[in-house]
Amino acid sequence: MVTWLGARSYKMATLKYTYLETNSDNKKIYAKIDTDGNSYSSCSEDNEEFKEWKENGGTVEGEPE
Amino acid sequence: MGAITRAFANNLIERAGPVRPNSKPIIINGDMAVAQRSTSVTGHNAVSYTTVDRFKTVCEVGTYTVTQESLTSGAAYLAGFKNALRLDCTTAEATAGSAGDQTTVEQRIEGFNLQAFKKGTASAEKYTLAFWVKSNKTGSNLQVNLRDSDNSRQIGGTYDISVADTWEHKVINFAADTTGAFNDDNGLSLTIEWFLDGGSNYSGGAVDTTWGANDNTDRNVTNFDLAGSTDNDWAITGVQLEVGEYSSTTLPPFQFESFEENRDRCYRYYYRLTPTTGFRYAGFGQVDNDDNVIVGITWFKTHMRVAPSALEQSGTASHYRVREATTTTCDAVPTFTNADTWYAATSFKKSGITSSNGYAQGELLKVGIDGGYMAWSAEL
Repeated sequence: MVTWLGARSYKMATLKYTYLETNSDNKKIYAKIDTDGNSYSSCSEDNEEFKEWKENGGTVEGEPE
Repeated sequence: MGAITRAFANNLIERAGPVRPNSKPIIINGDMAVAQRSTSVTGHNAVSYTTVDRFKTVCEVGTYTVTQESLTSGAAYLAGFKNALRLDCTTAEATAGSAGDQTTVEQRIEGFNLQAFKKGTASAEKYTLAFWVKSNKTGSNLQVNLRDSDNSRQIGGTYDISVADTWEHKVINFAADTTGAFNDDNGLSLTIEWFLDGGSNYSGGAVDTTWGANDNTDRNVTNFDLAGSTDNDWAITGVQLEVGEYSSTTLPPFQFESFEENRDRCYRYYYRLTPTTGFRYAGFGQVDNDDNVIVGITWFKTHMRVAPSALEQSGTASHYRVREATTTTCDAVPTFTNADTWYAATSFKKSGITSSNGYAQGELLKVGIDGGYMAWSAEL
Protein backbone atom coordinates (compact mmCIF):
# COMPACT_ATOMS: atom_id res chain seq x y z
CA MET A 1 0.00 0.00 0.00
CA VAL A 2 1.50 3.30 -1.08
CA THR A 3 0.01 6.58 -0.01
CA TRP A 4 1.09 10.09 -0.80
CA LEU A 5 0.53 12.21 2.24
CA GLY A 6 2.58 15.24 1.30
CA ALA A 7 -0.41 17.49 0.73
CA ARG A 8 -2.26 16.29 3.80
CA SER A 9 -0.09 17.78 6.49
CA TYR A 10 -0.59 21.07 8.24
CA LYS A 11 2.78 22.27 6.97
CA MET A 12 1.29 22.66 3.49
CA ALA A 13 0.28 26.28 3.05
CA THR A 14 -2.66 25.97 0.70
CA LEU A 15 -5.24 24.06 2.65
CA LYS A 16 -8.64 25.55 3.23
CA TYR A 17 -11.57 24.74 5.45
CA THR A 18 -15.26 25.11 4.68
CA TYR A 19 -18.02 25.32 7.26
CA LEU A 20 -20.40 22.35 7.25
CA GLU A 21 -22.72 22.56 10.21
CA THR A 22 -22.98 23.08 13.95
CA ASN A 23 -23.35 19.85 15.90
CA SER A 24 -25.54 19.08 18.91
CA ASP A 25 -22.74 20.23 21.25
CA ASN A 26 -22.92 23.62 19.53
CA LYS A 27 -19.50 23.01 18.00
CA LYS A 28 -18.87 24.08 14.43
CA ILE A 29 -17.83 21.33 12.04
CA TYR A 30 -15.56 22.00 9.07
CA ALA A 31 -14.39 20.08 6.01
CA LYS A 32 -10.69 20.33 5.33
CA ILE A 33 -10.18 20.80 1.58
CA ASP A 34 -6.94 19.55 0.12
CA THR A 35 -5.01 21.13 -2.72
CA ASP A 36 -6.62 18.68 -5.16
CA GLY A 37 -10.05 19.97 -4.20
CA ASN A 38 -11.06 16.84 -2.32
CA SER A 39 -11.80 16.57 1.35
CA TYR A 40 -9.96 13.82 3.22
CA SER A 41 -10.95 14.90 6.69
CA SER A 42 -13.40 16.96 8.68
CA CYS A 43 -13.10 18.32 12.16
CA SER A 44 -14.68 20.31 14.94
CA GLU A 45 -13.64 23.78 15.95
CA ASP A 46 -11.63 22.19 18.78
CA ASN A 47 -9.22 20.46 16.42
CA GLU A 48 -5.62 21.56 17.11
CA GLU A 49 -4.57 21.52 13.46
CA PHE A 50 -7.57 23.63 12.51
CA LYS A 51 -6.93 26.09 15.33
CA GLU A 52 -3.27 26.41 14.33
CA TRP A 53 -4.31 27.04 10.72
CA LYS A 54 -6.70 29.77 11.83
CA GLU A 55 -4.11 31.34 14.11
CA ASN A 56 -1.78 31.51 11.12
CA GLY A 57 -4.30 33.59 9.20
CA GLY A 58 -6.54 31.00 7.61
CA THR A 59 -10.05 32.14 6.75
CA VAL A 60 -12.88 29.63 6.73
CA GLU A 61 -15.23 29.58 3.74
CA GLY A 62 -18.96 29.65 4.41
CA GLU A 63 -18.62 30.56 8.07
CA PRO A 64 -21.99 31.81 9.38
CA GLU A 65 -22.03 35.31 10.81
CA MET B 1 12.95 -31.36 46.10
CA GLY B 2 9.47 -31.78 44.70
CA ALA B 3 8.76 -31.54 41.01
CA ILE B 4 7.15 -28.12 41.26
CA THR B 5 9.98 -26.71 43.40
CA ARG B 6 12.56 -28.14 41.00
CA ALA B 7 10.79 -26.61 38.00
CA PHE B 8 10.74 -23.23 39.74
CA ALA B 9 14.46 -23.49 40.53
CA ASN B 10 15.27 -24.46 36.93
CA ASN B 11 13.24 -21.51 35.73
CA LEU B 12 15.29 -19.18 37.90
CA ILE B 13 18.52 -20.59 36.49
CA GLU B 14 17.30 -20.21 32.91
CA ARG B 15 16.36 -16.60 33.62
CA ALA B 16 19.78 -15.64 34.97
CA GLY B 17 21.20 -12.55 33.32
CA PRO B 18 19.51 -9.27 32.45
CA VAL B 19 15.87 -9.37 33.44
CA ARG B 20 13.57 -6.66 32.28
CA PRO B 21 11.33 -4.72 34.64
CA ASN B 22 7.89 -6.16 35.19
CA SER B 23 5.91 -3.61 33.22
CA LYS B 24 4.82 -2.73 29.72
CA PRO B 25 7.51 -1.11 27.58
CA ILE B 26 7.50 2.67 27.76
CA ILE B 27 8.07 2.94 24.03
CA ILE B 28 5.01 1.90 22.07
CA ASN B 29 5.54 0.00 18.83
CA GLY B 30 9.31 -0.04 19.35
CA ASP B 31 9.56 -3.03 17.01
CA MET B 32 7.78 -1.05 14.27
CA ALA B 33 5.30 -3.89 13.74
CA VAL B 34 2.15 -1.76 13.56
CA ALA B 35 1.54 0.59 10.63
CA GLN B 36 -2.15 1.46 10.48
CA ARG B 37 -1.83 4.41 8.12
CA SER B 38 0.34 2.96 5.40
CA THR B 39 3.43 0.85 4.84
CA SER B 40 4.95 3.33 2.41
CA VAL B 41 4.55 7.05 1.83
CA THR B 42 6.31 8.84 -0.99
CA GLY B 43 7.06 12.51 -1.39
CA HIS B 44 7.05 13.19 2.33
CA ASN B 45 8.17 16.74 3.08
CA ALA B 46 5.98 17.61 6.01
CA VAL B 47 5.29 16.99 9.66
CA SER B 48 3.02 14.02 10.24
CA TYR B 49 2.65 10.42 11.22
CA THR B 50 3.20 8.52 8.00
CA THR B 51 3.77 4.80 8.33
CA VAL B 52 4.60 2.98 11.58
CA ASP B 53 2.39 3.99 14.49
CA ARG B 54 3.64 6.30 17.25
CA PHE B 55 6.73 7.42 15.32
CA LYS B 56 6.30 10.92 13.92
CA THR B 57 8.30 11.82 10.83
CA VAL B 58 9.20 15.48 10.87
CA CYS B 59 10.64 15.99 7.40
CA GLU B 60 11.18 19.67 6.65
CA VAL B 61 14.69 19.32 5.18
CA GLY B 62 14.64 17.14 2.06
CA THR B 63 11.88 14.94 0.69
CA TYR B 64 11.59 11.28 1.62
CA THR B 65 9.99 7.98 0.98
CA VAL B 66 9.06 6.69 4.40
CA THR B 67 8.48 2.96 4.74
CA GLN B 68 7.75 0.24 7.19
CA GLU B 69 10.67 -1.81 5.93
CA SER B 70 10.48 -5.60 6.16
CA LEU B 71 13.73 -7.05 7.43
CA THR B 72 15.00 -10.38 6.17
CA SER B 73 18.63 -10.32 7.28
CA GLY B 74 21.16 -8.48 9.37
CA ALA B 75 21.87 -8.14 13.06
CA ALA B 76 18.57 -6.46 13.89
CA TYR B 77 16.69 -9.23 12.09
CA LEU B 78 18.66 -11.84 14.03
CA ALA B 79 17.73 -9.99 17.23
CA GLY B 80 14.09 -10.67 16.40
CA PHE B 81 13.03 -7.53 14.55
CA LYS B 82 11.08 -8.09 11.36
CA ASN B 83 10.28 -4.43 10.65
CA ALA B 84 11.97 -1.06 10.73
CA LEU B 85 11.09 2.56 10.06
CA ARG B 86 13.10 3.75 7.06
CA LEU B 87 13.59 7.18 5.52
CA ASP B 88 14.99 7.33 1.98
CA CYS B 89 15.92 10.76 0.71
CA THR B 90 14.36 11.29 -2.72
CA THR B 91 14.93 15.03 -3.12
CA ALA B 92 18.11 16.39 -1.63
CA GLU B 93 18.37 19.75 0.08
CA ALA B 94 22.02 20.56 0.65
CA THR B 95 21.21 23.54 2.84
CA ALA B 96 18.05 23.73 4.89
CA GLY B 97 15.58 26.04 3.19
CA SER B 98 14.84 27.73 6.46
CA ALA B 99 17.01 28.06 9.55
CA GLY B 100 14.16 26.61 11.56
CA ASP B 101 13.56 23.54 9.40
CA GLN B 102 14.37 20.14 10.77
CA THR B 103 14.22 16.49 9.84
CA THR B 104 13.72 14.31 12.86
CA VAL B 105 11.99 11.14 13.92
CA GLU B 106 10.08 11.43 17.17
CA GLN B 107 8.21 9.39 19.69
CA ARG B 108 6.02 11.53 21.94
CA ILE B 109 5.13 10.11 25.35
CA GLU B 110 2.34 11.13 27.70
CA GLY B 111 3.02 11.85 31.37
CA PHE B 112 1.00 8.88 32.65
CA ASN B 113 3.64 6.54 31.21
CA LEU B 114 6.69 8.32 32.64
CA GLN B 115 6.14 8.48 36.37
CA ALA B 116 8.62 5.66 37.07
CA PHE B 117 11.42 8.10 36.22
CA LYS B 118 10.48 10.13 39.34
CA LYS B 119 11.63 13.20 37.51
CA GLY B 120 11.75 16.35 39.56
CA THR B 121 12.33 14.51 42.83
CA ALA B 122 15.38 13.66 44.91
CA SER B 123 14.88 10.05 43.81
CA ALA B 124 14.97 10.83 40.09
CA GLU B 125 16.08 7.93 37.89
CA LYS B 126 18.47 7.85 34.97
CA TYR B 127 17.29 6.96 31.46
CA THR B 128 18.66 4.38 29.05
CA LEU B 129 17.62 4.56 25.40
CA ALA B 130 18.51 1.64 23.15
CA PHE B 131 17.81 1.07 19.47
CA TRP B 132 19.04 -0.54 16.29
CA VAL B 133 20.06 1.85 13.52
CA LYS B 134 21.33 1.55 9.95
CA SER B 135 22.31 4.03 7.27
CA ASN B 136 24.22 4.09 4.00
CA LYS B 137 26.04 7.11 5.44
CA THR B 138 28.50 6.77 8.28
CA GLY B 139 28.83 9.56 10.79
CA SER B 140 29.87 10.51 14.29
CA ASN B 141 27.94 12.19 17.06
CA LEU B 142 24.47 11.81 15.58
CA GLN B 143 22.21 13.32 18.15
CA VAL B 144 19.17 12.05 19.99
CA ASN B 145 17.50 14.31 22.50
CA LEU B 146 15.01 13.91 25.32
CA ARG B 147 12.75 16.96 25.53
CA ASP B 148 10.54 17.59 28.56
CA SER B 149 7.49 19.58 27.45
CA ASP B 150 6.15 20.08 30.96
CA ASN B 151 9.19 21.99 32.16
CA SER B 152 10.84 23.12 28.90
CA ARG B 153 13.99 21.14 29.64
CA GLN B 154 16.16 18.93 27.49
CA ILE B 155 19.15 16.60 27.48
CA GLY B 156 21.09 15.14 24.57
CA GLY B 157 23.00 12.01 23.70
CA THR B 158 25.07 10.94 20.73
CA TYR B 159 25.82 7.82 18.75
CA ASP B 160 27.97 6.91 15.76
CA ILE B 161 27.12 5.04 12.60
CA SER B 162 30.39 3.23 12.10
CA VAL B 163 29.70 0.90 9.18
CA ALA B 164 27.55 1.72 6.17
CA ASP B 165 24.42 -0.34 5.49
CA THR B 166 24.88 -2.40 8.63
CA TRP B 167 22.58 -2.64 11.62
CA GLU B 168 24.26 -1.39 14.78
CA HIS B 169 22.85 -1.53 18.30
CA LYS B 170 23.13 1.67 20.32
CA VAL B 171 22.71 2.10 24.05
CA ILE B 172 22.67 5.69 25.30
CA ASN B 173 22.51 6.80 28.92
CA PHE B 174 20.91 10.04 30.07
CA ALA B 175 21.29 11.64 33.48
CA ALA B 176 18.51 11.83 36.03
CA ASP B 177 16.77 15.15 36.53
CA THR B 178 15.82 16.29 40.02
CA THR B 179 14.18 19.40 38.56
CA GLY B 180 10.74 19.54 36.98
CA ALA B 181 8.34 16.65 37.43
CA PHE B 182 6.49 15.11 34.51
CA ASN B 183 2.79 15.91 34.78
CA ASP B 184 0.81 12.84 35.77
CA ASP B 185 -1.68 13.20 32.97
CA ASN B 186 -2.42 12.30 29.36
CA GLY B 187 -0.63 15.30 27.88
CA LEU B 188 2.70 15.40 26.11
CA SER B 189 5.53 15.18 28.62
CA LEU B 190 8.53 13.72 26.81
CA THR B 191 9.65 13.72 23.19
CA ILE B 192 12.48 11.52 22.05
CA GLU B 193 13.90 13.06 18.88
CA TRP B 194 16.45 11.53 16.58
CA PHE B 195 17.90 14.54 14.76
CA LEU B 196 18.83 13.76 11.17
CA ASP B 197 19.09 17.17 9.52
CA GLY B 198 18.42 20.74 10.46
CA GLY B 199 18.85 24.40 9.76
CA SER B 200 21.20 26.74 11.54
CA ASN B 201 18.79 27.33 14.43
CA TYR B 202 19.64 23.91 15.81
CA SER B 203 23.43 24.05 15.91
CA GLY B 204 26.13 26.25 17.37
CA GLY B 205 25.77 25.06 20.95
CA ALA B 206 26.95 21.94 22.73
CA VAL B 207 25.24 18.61 23.40
CA ASP B 208 23.53 18.81 26.78
CA THR B 209 24.95 16.00 28.89
CA THR B 210 22.87 17.14 31.85
CA TRP B 211 19.29 18.36 31.89
CA GLY B 212 18.88 22.06 31.35
CA ALA B 213 16.57 24.68 29.93
CA ASN B 214 15.59 24.25 26.29
CA ASP B 215 18.15 25.59 23.86
CA ASN B 216 17.62 24.94 20.16
CA THR B 217 21.32 25.45 19.38
CA ASP B 218 22.11 22.32 21.43
CA ARG B 219 19.76 19.97 19.56
CA ASN B 220 21.76 19.21 16.41
CA VAL B 221 25.34 20.16 17.15
CA THR B 222 26.85 17.88 14.50
CA ASN B 223 24.53 17.75 11.50
CA PHE B 224 24.21 14.28 9.97
CA ASP B 225 22.86 15.90 6.79
CA LEU B 226 20.51 13.11 5.79
CA ALA B 227 19.05 15.37 3.09
CA GLY B 228 22.47 16.01 1.60
CA SER B 229 22.10 13.37 -1.11
CA THR B 230 19.42 11.19 -2.64
CA ASP B 231 21.76 8.29 -1.89
CA ASN B 232 21.00 8.67 1.77
CA ASP B 233 18.78 6.56 3.94
CA TRP B 234 18.35 5.94 7.67
CA ALA B 235 16.46 3.20 9.43
CA ILE B 236 15.63 2.38 13.03
CA THR B 237 14.00 -0.43 14.99
CA GLY B 238 14.05 -2.11 18.39
CA VAL B 239 13.60 1.11 20.32
CA GLN B 240 13.41 0.74 24.09
CA LEU B 241 13.52 3.28 26.91
CA GLU B 242 14.42 1.91 30.32
CA VAL B 243 14.31 3.35 33.82
CA GLY B 244 17.85 3.33 35.18
CA GLU B 245 21.34 3.11 33.77
CA TYR B 246 22.23 0.09 31.67
CA SER B 247 25.11 -0.87 29.42
CA SER B 248 24.99 -3.03 26.32
CA THR B 249 25.65 -6.06 28.51
CA THR B 250 23.20 -5.25 31.32
CA LEU B 251 20.38 -3.88 29.15
CA PRO B 252 17.13 -5.78 29.77
CA PRO B 253 16.01 -7.71 26.70
CA PHE B 254 13.65 -5.94 24.32
CA GLN B 255 10.14 -6.67 25.51
CA PHE B 256 8.36 -8.10 22.52
CA GLU B 257 4.61 -7.84 22.81
CA SER B 258 2.10 -9.82 20.82
CA PHE B 259 0.95 -7.99 17.71
CA GLU B 260 -2.49 -7.55 19.25
CA GLU B 261 -1.11 -6.05 22.48
CA ASN B 262 1.08 -3.71 20.50
CA ARG B 263 -1.74 -2.63 18.18
CA ASP B 264 -4.13 -2.12 21.08
CA ARG B 265 -1.67 0.28 22.69
CA CYS B 266 -1.36 2.11 19.35
CA TYR B 267 -5.16 2.41 19.23
CA ARG B 268 -5.02 4.79 22.18
CA TYR B 269 -3.45 7.31 19.77
CA TYR B 270 -4.84 6.37 16.36
CA TYR B 271 -7.73 4.12 15.39
CA ARG B 272 -8.29 3.24 11.78
CA LEU B 273 -10.90 0.97 10.22
CA THR B 274 -9.90 -0.44 6.86
CA PRO B 275 -11.98 -3.36 5.55
CA THR B 276 -9.90 -6.37 4.65
CA THR B 277 -12.19 -6.97 1.70
CA GLY B 278 -15.32 -5.53 0.13
CA PHE B 279 -18.07 -3.79 2.06
CA ARG B 280 -17.73 -4.06 5.81
CA TYR B 281 -19.69 -2.41 8.61
CA ALA B 282 -18.25 0.28 10.85
CA GLY B 283 -21.19 0.68 13.18
CA PHE B 284 -24.88 1.45 13.41
CA GLY B 285 -26.61 4.67 12.57
CA GLN B 286 -29.98 6.34 12.60
CA VAL B 287 -31.57 8.34 9.85
CA ASP B 288 -31.56 11.97 10.93
CA ASN B 289 -34.47 14.33 10.41
CA ASP B 290 -32.87 16.44 7.69
CA ASP B 291 -33.38 14.03 4.76
CA ASN B 292 -29.67 13.71 3.97
CA VAL B 293 -27.73 12.37 6.95
CA ILE B 294 -27.39 9.07 8.79
CA VAL B 295 -25.45 9.51 12.02
CA GLY B 296 -23.41 6.37 12.65
CA ILE B 297 -21.75 5.36 15.90
CA THR B 298 -18.38 3.58 15.94
CA TRP B 299 -17.04 2.20 19.23
CA PHE B 300 -13.28 2.34 19.72
CA LYS B 301 -11.59 -0.88 20.79
CA THR B 302 -9.80 0.92 23.57
CA HIS B 303 -10.25 4.31 25.14
CA MET B 304 -8.33 6.88 23.16
CA ARG B 305 -5.94 9.29 24.89
CA VAL B 306 -8.31 12.21 24.31
CA ALA B 307 -11.55 12.58 22.43
CA PRO B 308 -10.73 12.83 18.72
CA SER B 309 -11.78 16.08 17.07
CA ALA B 310 -11.54 15.01 13.42
CA LEU B 311 -12.42 12.18 11.08
CA GLU B 312 -10.08 11.03 8.32
CA GLN B 313 -11.49 9.25 5.27
CA SER B 314 -10.48 8.31 1.75
CA GLY B 315 -11.96 11.31 -0.04
CA THR B 316 -14.21 9.15 -2.23
CA ALA B 317 -17.95 9.21 -1.50
CA SER B 318 -18.60 5.82 -3.11
CA HIS B 319 -16.41 4.14 -0.49
CA TYR B 320 -19.13 4.73 2.09
CA ARG B 321 -22.53 3.07 2.28
CA VAL B 322 -25.55 2.56 4.47
CA ARG B 323 -27.77 -0.48 4.52
CA GLU B 324 -31.02 -1.74 5.90
CA ALA B 325 -32.52 -4.22 3.42
CA THR B 326 -30.50 -2.87 0.51
CA THR B 327 -27.14 -1.18 0.33
CA THR B 328 -27.16 2.50 -0.58
CA THR B 329 -24.02 4.31 -1.66
CA CYS B 330 -23.37 7.69 -0.06
CA ASP B 331 -23.23 10.74 -2.29
CA ALA B 332 -20.67 12.64 -0.23
CA VAL B 333 -17.84 11.62 2.06
CA PRO B 334 -18.70 11.07 5.72
CA THR B 335 -17.92 13.88 8.14
CA PHE B 336 -17.08 14.26 11.79
CA THR B 337 -20.03 14.76 14.12
CA ASN B 338 -18.66 14.37 17.64
CA ALA B 339 -16.63 11.94 19.72
CA ASP B 340 -15.42 11.02 23.14
CA THR B 341 -12.59 8.75 24.17
CA TRP B 342 -14.73 5.64 23.62
CA TYR B 343 -16.77 6.39 20.50
CA ALA B 344 -17.15 8.59 17.45
CA ALA B 345 -20.30 9.76 15.72
CA THR B 346 -20.04 10.19 11.96
CA SER B 347 -22.43 11.76 9.47
CA PHE B 348 -22.97 9.52 6.45
CA LYS B 349 -24.40 11.53 3.57
CA LYS B 350 -27.29 10.48 1.34
CA SER B 351 -29.58 13.09 -0.16
CA GLY B 352 -33.25 12.20 -0.11
CA ILE B 353 -32.69 9.42 2.41
CA THR B 354 -36.25 9.81 3.67
CA SER B 355 -38.05 11.56 0.84
CA SER B 356 -36.64 9.54 -2.06
CA ASN B 357 -34.94 6.46 -0.68
CA GLY B 358 -37.72 5.01 1.42
CA TYR B 359 -36.14 5.29 4.84
CA ALA B 360 -37.95 6.71 7.85
CA GLN B 361 -36.63 9.25 10.28
CA GLY B 362 -35.01 7.46 13.21
CA GLU B 363 -34.70 4.21 11.30
CA LEU B 364 -31.73 2.09 12.36
CA LEU B 365 -29.20 1.39 9.61
CA LYS B 366 -25.83 -0.23 9.35
CA VAL B 367 -23.07 2.07 8.14
CA GLY B 368 -19.97 0.84 6.42
CA ILE B 369 -16.93 1.16 4.24
CA ASP B 370 -16.05 -0.39 0.89
CA GLY B 371 -12.57 0.36 -0.37
CA GLY B 372 -11.97 3.32 1.89
CA TYR B 373 -11.25 3.81 5.56
CA MET B 374 -12.28 5.83 8.58
CA ALA B 375 -9.74 6.96 11.15
CA TRP B 376 -9.57 9.04 14.30
CA SER B 377 -6.45 10.49 15.86
CA ALA B 378 -5.56 11.28 19.44
CA GLU B 379 -1.84 11.61 18.75
CA LEU B 380 0.42 13.77 20.81
